[in-house]
Amino acid sequence: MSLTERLSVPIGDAAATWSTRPDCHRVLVVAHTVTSMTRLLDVLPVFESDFRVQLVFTRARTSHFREGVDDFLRDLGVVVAPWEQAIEERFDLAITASLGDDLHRIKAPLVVLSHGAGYNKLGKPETGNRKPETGNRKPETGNRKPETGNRKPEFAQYSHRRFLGWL
Amino acid sequence: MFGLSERTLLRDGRLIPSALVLSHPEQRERLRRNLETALDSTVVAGDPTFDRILDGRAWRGEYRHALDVGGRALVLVTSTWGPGSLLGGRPELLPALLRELPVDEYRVAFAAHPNTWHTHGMWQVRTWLAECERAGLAVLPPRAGWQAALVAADHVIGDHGSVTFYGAALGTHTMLATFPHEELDPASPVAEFGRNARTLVHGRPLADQLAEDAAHHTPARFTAATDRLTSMPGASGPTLRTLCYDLMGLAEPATRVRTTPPEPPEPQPLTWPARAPVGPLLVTANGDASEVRVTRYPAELAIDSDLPLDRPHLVVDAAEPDSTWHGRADVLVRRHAGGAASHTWIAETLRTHPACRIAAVPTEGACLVGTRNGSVFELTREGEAGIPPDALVSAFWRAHAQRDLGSGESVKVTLGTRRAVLRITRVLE
Repeated sequence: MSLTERLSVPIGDAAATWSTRPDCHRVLVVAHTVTSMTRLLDVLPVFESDFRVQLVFTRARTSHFREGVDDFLRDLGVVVAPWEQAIEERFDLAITASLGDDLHRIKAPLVVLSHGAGYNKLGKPETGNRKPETGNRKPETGNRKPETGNRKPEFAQYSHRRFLGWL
Repeated sequence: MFGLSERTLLRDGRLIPSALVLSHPEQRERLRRNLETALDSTVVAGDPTFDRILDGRAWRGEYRHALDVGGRALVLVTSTWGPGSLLGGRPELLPALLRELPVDEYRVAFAAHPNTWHTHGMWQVRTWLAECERAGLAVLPPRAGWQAALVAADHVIGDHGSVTFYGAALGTHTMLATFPHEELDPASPVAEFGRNARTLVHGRPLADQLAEDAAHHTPARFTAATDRLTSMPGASGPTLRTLCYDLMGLAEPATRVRTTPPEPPEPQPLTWPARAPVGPLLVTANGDASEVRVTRYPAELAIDSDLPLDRPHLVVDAAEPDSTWHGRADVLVRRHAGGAASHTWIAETLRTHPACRIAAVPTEGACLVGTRNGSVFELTREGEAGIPPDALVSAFWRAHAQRDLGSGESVKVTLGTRRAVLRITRVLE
């Protein structure tokens, strides 16, 4: 399994033609480290038994532990989109357990979890993951699906009124 | 400033997470000081990983069986990553624990943070741990195993990492090896735990420190800190599903969200020729001809150390791949079946190993032992099972050293918390 080649299914150019369930809601899972992967795997069973949902994984470019993450993704049998494709495509939800890489470029509402027991460690000094925008990003490409009626528009700040009551 | 701050949460003035999941409302209060605008995105949804661990408590017996704990106490040593961690700052504690904790009283397991495994390489980390693994350390793999091992543990020794904190939150006796307070938000629960837990010190027997602190331990000891781990124990899954489906604009499935217990722990295998099924043991057998306490230590770590052992003898498996040990052995034991008949093997072994005083062949529930003067005895056990036949050989060693043993004699044997009566039958003069 390649972790760097663009997917043509179940997201990508051939998704509409070749998918068995092309209308699935899409969830992007962003893997940073083996630790964040194990954490996400504790959460992902919430999507079990739901034929309406397709999960697609991607590995953040800031991962310092690339080999471990790659092996983990391979062993899981998940579909993996390269980061560049993951930020081009539109998803209905994205979920991650770390804040590295340009997560703001993901086109989906983003759920961020802790990858440990809450939040305890102090922030590290700047690591390399805050590079200024580089010039090699692709411009918006034309191969996106047109907005379909059942997808949300570009995500704006989600309101958590129903959750705020639980705090 | 802790990990959640303007630098990590904002990009171009906009909040990166749509939903920032917290495990406890306490984190909101700390976030308020860092970045008040982030509060609107927070959702308290407990800790899904801890929920699985809690669920695993019903399977503690199975997990202990998977780790081959037997009647021993399980010590889980855990290290987060970085120079301030246990492995980063005090790696020598691992061999020290294995050297000092008797093998029949303690089973020691080790869980390292995946970042450590993948920074240095699986091969390198196990190469660092080679001596410890040969001495009986159960090394858990990076992805899973620590969760179940936490459930199974009687003692946790760790640092400022999450695994240590989860151990404390389970109410398990927990001690520290290192704790870099400066790396933590002083207002965080883990920092508070670190200020209250005891650290194992250099220069005093580790078994004593462990036992003394455990004697004062109660499951509620660290709850002032660990109560802030999750505000909804056992309920994280349903809360997270509601959040995810709400964000997707999709109705939640009618099915119940399932919480699964942790995977059974599978220590990394270590087989011949890395080591024999049982490594060389340095054994004390104290008492007289009628009552003996046997205590065994991994010889590789204990033999040339300053461990104060009273007249120890060295017991080596005949399958020990490091042949140096065969020449030093006081007792050679053939645990594996097959090869020459037992009597033949005993005679041949004593002939070819001039330093060896006893050659022994354990059988089902018994043990055949030969001594240098040509006598052969059969050792049988009465009472509690669980004392391995080769430990009876060490009791025999002491009794035999006291006087010439006849047939039908018995010796009371204590091994850790287990007791049995050893019956001695002379089968060959």
